[in-house]
Amino acid sequence: MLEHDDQQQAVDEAIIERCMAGDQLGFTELYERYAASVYRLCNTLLNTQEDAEDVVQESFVYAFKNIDRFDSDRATFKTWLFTIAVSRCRNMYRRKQFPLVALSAALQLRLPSSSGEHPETALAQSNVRDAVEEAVRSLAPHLREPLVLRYAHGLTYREIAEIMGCPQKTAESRVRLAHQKLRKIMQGQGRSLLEEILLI
Amino acid sequence: MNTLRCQYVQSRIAAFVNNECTERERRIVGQHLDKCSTCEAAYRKQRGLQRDIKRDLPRMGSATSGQLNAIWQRIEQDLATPTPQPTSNALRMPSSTWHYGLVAAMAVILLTLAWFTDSNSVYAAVPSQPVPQDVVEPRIATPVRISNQQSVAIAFATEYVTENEQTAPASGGILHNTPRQTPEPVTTQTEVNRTQ
Ligand SMILES: [Zn+2]
Repeated sequence: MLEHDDQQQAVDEAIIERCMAGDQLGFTELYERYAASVYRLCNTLLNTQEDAEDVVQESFVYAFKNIDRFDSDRATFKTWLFTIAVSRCRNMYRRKQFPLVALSAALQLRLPSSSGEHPETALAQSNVRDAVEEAVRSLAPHLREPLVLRYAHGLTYREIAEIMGCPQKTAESRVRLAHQKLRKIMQGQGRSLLEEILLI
Repeated sequence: MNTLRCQYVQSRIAAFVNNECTERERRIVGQHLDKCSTCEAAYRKQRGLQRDIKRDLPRMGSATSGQLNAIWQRIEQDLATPTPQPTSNALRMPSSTWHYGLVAAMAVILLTLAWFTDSNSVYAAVPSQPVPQDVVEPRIATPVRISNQQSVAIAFATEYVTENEQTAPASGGILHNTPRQTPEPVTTQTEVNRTQ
């Protein structure tokens, strides 16, 4: 584990001790430290910002009300919090049964017009970003989760396995599978765009 | 895709780009890429995709500080409210909508079954750390909300805010008496480093 992870964990544990001793400012600090990443996680896994906001709220409320259940010997606060958030995102998928994004429509709208031989770089970059985002959103949750945890949050496979409640090997193979699917999706839907951008 | 070797190599390209191959696989794939332009093109695409994912995914779905503040206020509100007794209110419906409700419930059950069937290998594994006990239960009570904050969430998709730009949640709430206006710079930076 990298040193800054250890430091982060030590700071978290000190704050949590204060929370458990009744210092309510500690909760504010924990929120400040993790709200942005928990939000980003939920908003990437779920399809609407409203759902993401609800799940972030529920996750922190749960964590704060159950802070005494956090066991620093078994998880970092961050992975514990992410575990809570991912579980609640899963509840949300089940409740909403959200449809997968209609990818072909979304991507084709964003392709540069075929009349322009060389799309402007900025536009092209933003198209790729949109295309990546749409493609990620089109992945099934069990592939989207590890991909996002890995690349958007820089977690290790061990941490991802903890959060997803699966063996580490499974986490690794799902990230690989997610990659393959993304590649297929993006090749299939945005072929000309990708060739222009990726092969520079 | 020309040969069995091409098929094999292309199935291993994502792993190759991710440095997840064994030494032997790496040698086989590497040698083949040197002499097969089709697979080499697939490799370059995969590498480009990897680069895009690494660059774009960390920016995806970021919140504005306004959104985070609004959520914080809802959290404070929730924490200040006594925990509601679990009830089945959410499952009760007015009698006039009962039939629609039944149809909807059946649909949800069928879809849920389909979802489970589709991903039954996914969540069957035993968690290696304790999952909080009530996390897997569907939440029944409606979350407490502050009504006029729903509108905060609009027009956020194009605005990317890095975590160190995040401002502190609104102070003066229920949980604390001391105003707290700035995030902790050191720890926020750590969080940013962590995600890059
Ligand atoms: Zn080949």
